[in-house]
Amino acid sequence: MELLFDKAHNHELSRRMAEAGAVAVTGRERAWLKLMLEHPAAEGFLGAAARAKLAELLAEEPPLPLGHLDEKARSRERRLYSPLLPELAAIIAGRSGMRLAYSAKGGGELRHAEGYPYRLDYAMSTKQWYLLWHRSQGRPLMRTRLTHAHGVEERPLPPGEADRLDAAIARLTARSQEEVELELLPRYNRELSRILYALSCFRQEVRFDAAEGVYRIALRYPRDERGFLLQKLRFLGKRVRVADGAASAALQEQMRASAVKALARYGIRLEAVAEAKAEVEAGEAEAGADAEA
Amino acid sequence: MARESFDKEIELLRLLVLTGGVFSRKESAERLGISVHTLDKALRRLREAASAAGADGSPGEDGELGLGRLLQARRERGGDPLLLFLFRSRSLKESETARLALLQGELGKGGRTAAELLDACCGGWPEASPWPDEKTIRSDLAYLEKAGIVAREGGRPVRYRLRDELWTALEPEELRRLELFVHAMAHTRVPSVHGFLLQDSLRRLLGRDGALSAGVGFAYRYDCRILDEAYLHPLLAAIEERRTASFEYLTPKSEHRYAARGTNPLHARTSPARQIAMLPLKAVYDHQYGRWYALGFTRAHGLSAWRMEGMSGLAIGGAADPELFARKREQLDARLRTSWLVDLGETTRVSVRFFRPEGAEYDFVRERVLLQGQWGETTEEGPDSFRYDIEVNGTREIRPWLRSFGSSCEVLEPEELRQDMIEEWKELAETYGAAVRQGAQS
Repeated sequence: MELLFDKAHNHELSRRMAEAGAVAVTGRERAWLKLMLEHPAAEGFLGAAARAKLAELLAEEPPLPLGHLDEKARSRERRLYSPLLPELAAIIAGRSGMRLAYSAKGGGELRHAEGYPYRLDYAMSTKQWYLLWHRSQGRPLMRTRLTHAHGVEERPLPPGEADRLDAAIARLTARSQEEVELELLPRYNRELSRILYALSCFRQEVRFDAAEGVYRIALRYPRDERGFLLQKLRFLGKRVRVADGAASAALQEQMRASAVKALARYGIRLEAVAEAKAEVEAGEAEAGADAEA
Repeated sequence: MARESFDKEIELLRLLVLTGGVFSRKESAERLGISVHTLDKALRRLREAASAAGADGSPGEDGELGLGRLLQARRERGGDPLLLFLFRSRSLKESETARLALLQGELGKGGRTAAELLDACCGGWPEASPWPDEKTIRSDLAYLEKAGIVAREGGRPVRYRLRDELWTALEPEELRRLELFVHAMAHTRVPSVHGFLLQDSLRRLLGRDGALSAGVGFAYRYDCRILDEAYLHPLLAAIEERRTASFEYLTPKSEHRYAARGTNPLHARTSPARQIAMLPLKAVYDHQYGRWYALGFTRAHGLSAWRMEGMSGLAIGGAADPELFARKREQLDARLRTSWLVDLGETTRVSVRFFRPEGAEYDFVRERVLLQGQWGETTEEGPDSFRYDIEVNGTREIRPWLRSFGSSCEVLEPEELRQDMIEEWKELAETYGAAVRQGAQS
């Protein structure tokens, strides 16, 4: 029954072996890899030759017994591999600069820019790869969908430049972070675990106010990804409420506008006077919420 | 020897990750339903494991538990499988660690017989300790062979070799690409712990600067899912062998665990952990919340689902009646086909109208419906909207997803769901209307 907590994985043992230049791989890890090689992205990542070599080496491994496992609410997945991925990953790992050919989000002409790539992010929500980079000229922090990147050339940086850029990026990203506090309505306290799971993709801190019996969940997120938070807030509905605070006003207004507009879909007009205004705002809020740069 | 259990550590880590580690030791122990002493023991073990795995932070700035913020910081650095160190914390005696490391290190140099290994072992052995005997070496080799780490080669005497063919067959550049591939798959597939362990090994081989995955991350992932894999694999094996399983179950809705005990004295009375004995039939991973379920059959409750986060003390029992297993599994598969997540109730038809976003160049509503809408079908309606129809068990599980579309979604049927949606939007409009008015006044 030792299927995961194998002594072969003991940390001290792995460390000593690595020192001796040896690495142990268990049969189960090979079985896992064998299964992964069947994924259509495998050939992109590995190249046809290496994939074939690995498949041959693993041919004799018994398969991982996953016939009894179902996945629910799984998104369809596209583009787990992108041809620029290994090249960009190598530039980032080597802390080099680049010259990138890319197009704007609505399509349009090809642009070229010099910059420093610092992260590749796969958004689990939209199943898209994004390149995060620091542009030498113009707005510095860029987030470009990989399908909009058309080519990259490595440009070595002068010594010390990567350190300077990393520090600048850390300053800029810290400034674009927002923090918001959510309150769990006490009548839903029993659902705390489910709600924390749903929000566990954010950085969160939970506090319990014993006097009021209220759970308060503080979340941190990058400002330009507020849309994803709004989507989650609509997902949870009336169970949580955005508490009052510095960054909350905009979120509260967007939630209100969204609710008013949703009611209008059902022919229910709240605050008939404010409605026309709300409709415009809700349209903007939701467009901002879901559209990815 | 009793099997080393990690139940307490798993629960503690889950609490830390879900709540950000802001609770005190006393509060945490209460929420987990354990004594402070037990909590301290689990914490000590986790701290040791985390620091052995190079996750040492600055304890001075940390909370009382000393791990919460450390885990959060690790998470933000990305790339690093956050909770993996737990799976490396199986304890080993110092002498066994030394022996296994020596053996594998020696085998890494080429094929060896048991006698050669014994010699090599004694040669590299610290003088103060007693030398390992042949019987011990043979039993180590039997273990390594069973785990798939070494293989026998033919001939007499039998020679053993380290199974390192994965690395030796690949060119250095191919090895780097393999590490990136394993990184991507471990983050996007379930189960993934074996993938993370494999990636860890690959990183050791490639060295600090050789790994391509250093700056590659996965935004909005659910870290806790790998904790529950501790139960997943024994359960899958039990299903494969048609065995029963028993465990203590603390429903995550209980006021214990993450909810404060004592907020409502009524709940302190009912000790919530129940002993469940069931016939496991299937495991389900729910991508919507990042949670695992065990589905099975009990005489008392029929077909049911248990959240793996609520389980502890899992024990695999005897063989079940194969005929019963086959019948129940068939019933379950038929019900599960139309579960949005794990609702096994009556099937309902849900019809919805989705509206295209106004003024956006790109129809992100349709995009998301196509990505996440599971087996539902879409039908064109006109330039502004399209219909989405799905046969699904109950409306409870699909509801949050529909609501997440905001005003881009109108429920057409069933009427009850339509009315519920209206009521909920009214409530939200009121809650936030008041908040916004208040904000404007202040």
